[in-house]
Formats: sequence, structure tokens, C-alpha cells
Amino acid sequence: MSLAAEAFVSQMAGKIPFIHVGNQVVSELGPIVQFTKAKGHSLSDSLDDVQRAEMKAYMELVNNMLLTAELYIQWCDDATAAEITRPRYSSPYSWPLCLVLAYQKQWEVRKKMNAIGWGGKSLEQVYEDVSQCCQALSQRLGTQPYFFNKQPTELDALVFGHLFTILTTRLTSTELAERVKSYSNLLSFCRRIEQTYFEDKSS
Amino acid sequence: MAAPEHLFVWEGDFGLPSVSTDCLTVLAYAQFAGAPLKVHKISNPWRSPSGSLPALKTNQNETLTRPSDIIIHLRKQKFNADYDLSAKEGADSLAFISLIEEKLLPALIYWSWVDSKNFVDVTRRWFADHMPFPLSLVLPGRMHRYQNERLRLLRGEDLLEPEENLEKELFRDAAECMNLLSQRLGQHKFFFGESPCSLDAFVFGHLAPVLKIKFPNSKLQQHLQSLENLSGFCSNILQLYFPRTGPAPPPMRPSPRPAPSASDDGDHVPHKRRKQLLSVLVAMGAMLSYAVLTGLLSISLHQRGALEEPPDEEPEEPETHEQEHER
Repeated sequence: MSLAAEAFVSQMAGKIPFIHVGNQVVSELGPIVQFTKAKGHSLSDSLDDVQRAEMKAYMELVNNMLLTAELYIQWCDDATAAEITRPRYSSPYSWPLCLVLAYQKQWEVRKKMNAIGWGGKSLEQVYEDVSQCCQALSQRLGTQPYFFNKQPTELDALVFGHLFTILTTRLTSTELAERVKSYSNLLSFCRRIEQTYFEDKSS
Repeated sequence: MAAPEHLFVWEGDFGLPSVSTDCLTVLAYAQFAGAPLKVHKISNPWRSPSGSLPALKTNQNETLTRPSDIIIHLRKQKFNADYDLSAKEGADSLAFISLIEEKLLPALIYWSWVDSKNFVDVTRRWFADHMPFPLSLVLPGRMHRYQNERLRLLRGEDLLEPEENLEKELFRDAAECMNLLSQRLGQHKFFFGESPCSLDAFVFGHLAPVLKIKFPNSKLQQHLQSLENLSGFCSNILQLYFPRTGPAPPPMRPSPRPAPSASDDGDHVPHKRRKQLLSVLVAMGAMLSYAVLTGLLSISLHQRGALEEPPDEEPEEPETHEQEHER
């Protein structure tokens, strides 16, 4: 599919990631998982009720803490916002629209942070929260290859996505990546998934 | 032993120690951990040190408002209900608390503040009745706008969708969350073992209002009642840790009431006599001043009485003259 067509479809869906199957466009992780489940492919069928409850809870933990922390660092930390986020967000648009949209997005994100109670946090506190979340994930993972032992599930995909992004995105400081790296089992988890599922294609 | 710290929370009603989720969470945790707090139950958020409730005024003169901050502070003071949890159980706690905040809390906000029938019949009426006079006209509306905005931001959308779709989606998420909690609780008394911890406090804080407060649109309540272990969990905590709150009105009220039933809860308005007297006085004052100003009523000043000024020789002169004339 050409790039232009991709961009058009992404605008229709409104949100990325999305998959385009035939006539349907499904965006965001939750609906994509449901879609593939309806087609008969599900990763969590072998889990019992209690494990499924735990899996959903940990997925919300990742959404609640890691996603919010990523948003905070991108938009509420002045240094990062000015050097990296605003230029990147406003790059497709011409001046002065780029300024307006970037500041509008920043304002919107800051309002959301206030509404969920993260407005008063300092950067150090946010790093602490990320550490706490990683500690919880690390304890849950333990020495197993995946979160629910032998088979990867949606939770593994979500955690990989977030941690890989944190480890590979260039930010103004490497503190966040360092904090994640301090949990060795999470680091080896990310490397293992990258090698098993992504490097096969390129080799 | 340090002096007890002061905790300000919303008043209780409907058989609950407080009507607010965050206040209930903090109260429950304090009970579980045995923290000696001086609890002030108020209905005027402006009297709290931070302007909002719950608020904890610490001995170091700091004011904390978020339940998680208050719990962390109490833990540092050695009141730790999570002491016996293993590392994995601690991690699970964190995960389930996130689940509640992402999936259940938006539905609670919707059901109390956004659904029009619930808001008008129960929420707004309760706050307007319980807040002192000028605030009761202004604050409920302001809280309504704040909660609407909060729901919109939590869902990350530009505009709230039309109500039916939104309600269905929120109910589906909340029902799933409650089912997951029910599966995790199973037949146990508390989520981790025989004694309650912070997760139990959060679950109680969020579910007890759903169980106890009767809304016209009661889908959430019906679903919770169908999950017997969860509703039993809430009732158990109320019985064990908050035994004095019940459906009966608080014992401080001097006027004896007939046997209270659930329907009496709506009539329990504080300061009823004072409000009635005040409204009668204001009405009479308004009527009198209208009558005087339009001339319907004129007040004559030629009356003798105890309130007359002592030097009244001058006004008396014309009278004596008249009397002489009459003779």
C-alpha cells in the first residue's frame, strides 16, 4: 500500500496503531485483540479465570503508569517538550499552524494530568512511579520466560511495546532508560522478544 | 507518641461513614492499619485545609489530598496494612488498583454526576441539602462541571459521546472490572489472606457507594448485587470496621423519630428547624417591606409606649391644646 493511502486510512481510523483488513479498519490495542480473537486467534485462551483477571489488571497497570508517565515526560517536562516533542509533533504542519497545534496539545495533556492527579508531581516522582511499576512487573515476571509462563499473551505484547519504546527513544536524559535497565529480567525479556519475533524477518 | 493527625472527610449517609469514594478509601485504610486519626466529618469543603475532601493535615503542617499520598504517608508513620504482603502480592495490589481506577472509576463518575436523572434526584439534592446556605447554590453546579470535565479527560476524548453509547461502554467496562475483582476474591474474606490491606480499602471505597446509595438508574447496583462475594465483602467491612454507621439517624439528634426505614433517608435534612425559621422570617420581612413601600400599610408615630423618647414635651403640647379645645 502506498504511503499516501496509508496516511489517508490512518486519518480515517483516527488512531494508531491500526490494521486494515479488507474493508475494515481496526485501531488501538484493545479492539485489535478483540478482532483477532473473533477470527479465532487468541493468546489468552489457555489462562484460567484468576490468571485472566491478573492479566487484565497488569495491562491496566501498564496503561495507568507507564503510558501516563510517557505522556508526562513528553509534554509536561519543559526541557523535553521544547527540544523534542513539540518540534516532532508540529513537523507536518507549516508555520504558524505548527505552533498553535503543538501548544494546544501540550495544554490538553497538562489538563489531563491535573484531572488524574499527576499535575502536582515532579519529574523525580514520575521516575519513582515508573520504577515502582517496573518493580511490580519484574516481580510478576520473576524468572519465567513470559508473564504467564510458557506462552506469550497480550500482556507480554503490551509490556514489550512500552519498554522497548522507553529503551530506544532518545530523550533529553537517559534516567528513564537507566531505571528500566536496572531490572535485569525485564531487559532480557525485551531482548528475547525482539530476537524471537522481530529479528527473524531481517535475517 | 505523636499527636493524632487531622483527617477531613465528607459526611456520611445511606449507612456509609462517608459518601465520597476517596474519603471511604482513606477511612478504611486508617481503620485497617489502626492509625489514630482525628476524623472531622464535614459538609463544607471550604472548611478543609486544602479546599477539597479528603484532606489530611499532617504533624509537619503539610496537607495531603490524594488517597495514595495519604496511604503512603501513613505507611511511613509505621501504620502499614500491607506489611504482611509478599512482593508478588504487593505487585498484584498495584495492578488491581490500576484496574479499578481505569475501568470502574469513570463509570462511578458517570453514574453519580453525568446521568441526568441520578444527578438531579440524588447527587445534587444531597449536596444542596447538606451544604450551608450560600454554598449550596453554587458548589453543586461547580462540582458537576468539574466531574464532567474529569470524565472527558479520563476518556481522552474531545467531546463526550451521546449518552446511550457512553453509558453502554462504561457499564460494560465497569461490569467486567467487577467480575474480575469477584473472580480474584473468590471465597476469601479479603483479597490477600485473613487481614485487609490497601487493595481492600480501594475496592471498598469504590464499591460501597454503589451498594448503598439508591439511584434511579441502578444498573451498576444490580450488577454488584448479583456478585454475592463482592457485596458480602463490602457489608463485612462495614460491619467489622464501621459498626456505628447504620441506616438509623445518628444518635446526636435530640428529636426522636419513628422507626427509620430506607425511605426516611431522603427526609433527614440537617438544621431543618433553623432553615424553616429563617425562611419564614425572610418571607415575612419581604412582605412587610413591600407593604410599607407601596403604602398598603402606614405606620403611625403618635403612639405612647415604653420606647418613646423621654423629652416629649413638644409633641404633647398640641395634644393638650386639642384637649382644651375639645373641652
